[in-house]
Amino acid sequence: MRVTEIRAGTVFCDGAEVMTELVGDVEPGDELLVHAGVALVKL
Amino acid sequence: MKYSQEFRDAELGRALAAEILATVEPGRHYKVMEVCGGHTHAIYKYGIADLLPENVELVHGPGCPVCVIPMGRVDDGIAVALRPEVIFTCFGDMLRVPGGRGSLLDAKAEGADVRMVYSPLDALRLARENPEREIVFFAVGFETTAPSTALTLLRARAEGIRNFFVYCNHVTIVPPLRALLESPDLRLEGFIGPGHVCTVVGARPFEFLPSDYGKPVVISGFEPLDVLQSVHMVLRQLAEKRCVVENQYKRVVPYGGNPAALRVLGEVFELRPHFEWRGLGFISHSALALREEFADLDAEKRYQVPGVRVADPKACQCGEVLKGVIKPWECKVFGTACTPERPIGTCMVSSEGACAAYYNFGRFAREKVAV
Repeated sequence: MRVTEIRAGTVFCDGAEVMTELVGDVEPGDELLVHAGVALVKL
Repeated sequence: MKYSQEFRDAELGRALAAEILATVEPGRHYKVMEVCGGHTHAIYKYGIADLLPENVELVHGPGCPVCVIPMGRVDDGIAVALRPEVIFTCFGDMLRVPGGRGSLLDAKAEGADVRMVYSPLDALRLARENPEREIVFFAVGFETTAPSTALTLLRARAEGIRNFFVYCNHVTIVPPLRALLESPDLRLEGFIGPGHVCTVVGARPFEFLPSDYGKPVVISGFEPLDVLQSVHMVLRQLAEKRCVVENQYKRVVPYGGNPAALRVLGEVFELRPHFEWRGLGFISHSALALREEFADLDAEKRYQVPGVRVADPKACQCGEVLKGVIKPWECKVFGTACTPERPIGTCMVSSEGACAAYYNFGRFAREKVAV
C-alpha cells in the first residue's frame, strides 16, 4: 500500500490508518507491505 | 501496479514451466508442500498446477490461519460474544467458521453484537467510542498477524484503555511443520516457505527443515512467477542434491526478519504449553498467549469460557486436507454438503483454505494442460 497522508503523526494508506512502528519513519509516497493494519516492510 | 503485475507475465511463466520440465527426472514423483494458504490461493487462482509436469505434485500445508482454529475455540468465542456487555470483533473470515454450536454469524443472527473489523486497530477504535461496552478482538493468525495484535495491545496500554480485550488464538508455523514431518502419513521432498510469515521471523527458523529432516525449502512470494520460480528452485536443489534454505522473495523478506516485530512479539506474548489445531490435534508450544503483564487485557482471563474440546464432524476431512494427505475433492462432502455458502469444515471458509480455492477456481475436472 502507498502512504497517502500523515496527519498528526498518524499514517494513512488509502484512507486507512496503518501502524508503522515496525518500519521506522515513512513519508507520503512510500510503499509498504501492510498486514492487518501494521506495516511489516518498507518496499 | 508495482511489485505484482511484473510477476504475472505469461511468457515468463511458460519459460519457467519449460525449465521445470527440464529439471525433473522422468519416472520420479515429486511432492512439494506449499506451507501457506496464500500460496494455495495463488496456485489455483492462476492455474499454476496446470503448468507443472504430471510428476510434480503440490501438497497444501497447514498455513491457513482460519482453517486451523478448532471448533472449541469458536464455541468459546461465541460464549463471550453472547454476553450483553460485549461487542465482539473479528476478521470477516472468522464470522463463518463453524463451531460445535454454529458460527459467530449465527450468534449475530441470535442477537449477539458481533462486528467485522479489518484490523485490531478498528476494535480499539470501537473501545474508545463505546466506553460503556467491553470490546473483544478475536485474534487469529500466524506470526504475520500477531505483530498487529501486539502493537494494538501496547497502544491500549499506553492510552489507558480499560475496555479492550484480546481473545488470543495466534499460532506459530514451525511446530505444525515438525509434527507433519514426524507423521508417517506423508512423504514430502521439499517445501515452499511462507513469504509473509518470513517478513517477521525471517528465513532462519526454517533452517531445521534441511538440517534436521534433509528437506530443501524456498521462501516464496505470492505472485504466479514467484511460485513457479520457487518450485523450480526446490526441484533444482533436489536435482543437484543440495539441501538448504533459499530466499526467492528477497525483494520483501530479509533473511533475519524484522527485529522490531520480533521484539514486540516477545514483549507481549509467550508460548502456550500446547494448543489444539483443527484436524492436527494438540501440538506443543505452537501458539501464543498474552504475557502476565497483559492479563488485564486478556479475554480468556476476563470471562469464564467453557473451554470444551469439540470433535470435528465425522464427515469433515479438513484434518487430512490440512496435512496434505488427501486433496480437497477427495473429501466425502466437498462441493456437496460442504460449500463456501454452507461450510462444514474450515478449509471451505477462508479464501486461503485449500477447499475454497479448489471450489472457487473450478478445478473439479483437474485436467492437466500439456506443457
